[in-house]
Amino acid sequence: MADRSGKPRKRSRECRSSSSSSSKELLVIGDADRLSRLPQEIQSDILCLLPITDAAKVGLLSKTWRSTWLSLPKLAFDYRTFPEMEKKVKFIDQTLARHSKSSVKTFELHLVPLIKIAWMKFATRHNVEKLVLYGEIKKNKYLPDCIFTCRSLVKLDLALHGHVLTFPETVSLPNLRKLKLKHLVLYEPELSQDPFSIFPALEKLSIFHCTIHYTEILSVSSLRLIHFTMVKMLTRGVIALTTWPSQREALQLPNVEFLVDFDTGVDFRCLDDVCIKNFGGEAIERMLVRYLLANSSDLTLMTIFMNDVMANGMLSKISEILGYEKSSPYADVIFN
Amino acid sequence: MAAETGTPTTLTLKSNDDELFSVAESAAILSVTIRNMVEDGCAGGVIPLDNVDGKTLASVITYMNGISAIPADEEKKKSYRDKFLSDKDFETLADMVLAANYLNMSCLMDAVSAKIAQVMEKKSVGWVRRKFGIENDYTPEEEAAVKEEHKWTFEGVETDDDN
Repeated sequence: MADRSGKPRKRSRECRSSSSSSSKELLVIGDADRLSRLPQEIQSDILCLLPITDAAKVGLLSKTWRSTWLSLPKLAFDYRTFPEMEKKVKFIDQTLARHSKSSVKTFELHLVPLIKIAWMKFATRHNVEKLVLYGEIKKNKYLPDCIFTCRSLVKLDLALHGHVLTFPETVSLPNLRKLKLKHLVLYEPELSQDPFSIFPALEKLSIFHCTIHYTEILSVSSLRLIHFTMVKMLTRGVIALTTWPSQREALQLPNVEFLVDFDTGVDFRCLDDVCIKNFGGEAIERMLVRYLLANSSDLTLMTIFMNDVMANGMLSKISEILGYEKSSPYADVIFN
Repeated sequence: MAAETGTPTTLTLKSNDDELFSVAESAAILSVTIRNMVEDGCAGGVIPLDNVDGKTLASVITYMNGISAIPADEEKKKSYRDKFLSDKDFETLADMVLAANYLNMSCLMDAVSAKIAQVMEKKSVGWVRRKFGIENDYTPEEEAAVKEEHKWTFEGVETDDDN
């Protein structure tokens, strides 16, 4: 690769410094170790591009690199990139214990089978701005309150298998702009009817592969919300009308991808442009469409992308949908 | 200012080993350092670049000309950058990242950083140290202590191949 083509004309460092006619001294010293002359910020950028185990390795090169490693602003532990080794937990513990900077902008855990509370506390104590927790936490445990009072937090990704999401009594996330929820259980007694209204700066909400148990409507309202995505839900519950059958099997729907763009964002009444993907036309899906059309008074366009299931009795389903009552006089429904 | 005359302006850049290079102003101002000099009106004569040697500067100018000839198409720019860096050896990459930093050219900086990271990935400490000529400034005792801390990094598979 790169080295191969370089080999034939490879200059040794000594040869280089003697061949350059002026400013010799500086070059001789500098050439000894070019990368270490980089400002720490740039060394940091390079290390942040590496899997963390490789970054740790580079941290062994010299004192300069060690100091860069110990103050990295991004710590992303991904179990997939760890070499075959037993001591993953110890590695995370030690890395955090030795970290010397007071702020860590990005803290990510990927595919960690048991996330320690101490790691999450480390992140919030270091004024984390982007926090990704992907894995599992102890059964029947809550996320530590400190996550919900972390004023520096801008982006929060929670992908915790089967974890029932709850928010503590005091929530103070004034800067949280992006929230992504994956593989969680959103359960009505634990969450309020309008659970996301407590995040004043929320602009983007994504809910993927979550199980939703709501008997009434789960509203999503936030003054700032401009982007809302729901993908592959186990229930269609987010806009749950009345009561959904409780058997999960009955509700497992064909990967409906449901994307909504808010114009201004309070509630579903302000929907402007709705796009429903992978629409199979099943009764429950038609109910969703019916509900949206009946309740979105500002709707201008609903685009429905149909999947193969829809081919069955397509025309009658389309004509049924086109006959639904629309609360917005300007709403167009387009099938694709 | 020269740029207002409508004809393409050429700048003369001087490396720290006194090589002179002509380059179109429109390409050279990819460097924020040079752009600031042009805007401040200090680009009349020869622009001395004290931290860049002739060989590296020649490479950087090739890049400036190449990338500025591509219209606003991020895909094409990216593939140009990949191709441009694909045949660079380690010393050149190290020189290039320093130059990009000095010249304040973020797109080149990011691309070279990514390339360096890619080269470092999955390699042993000794290999990286050799390839990039990184000076080992630990005392033997310190090194032993640091190695002890990260014992596991010396375990497992490491490739020291050059490709």
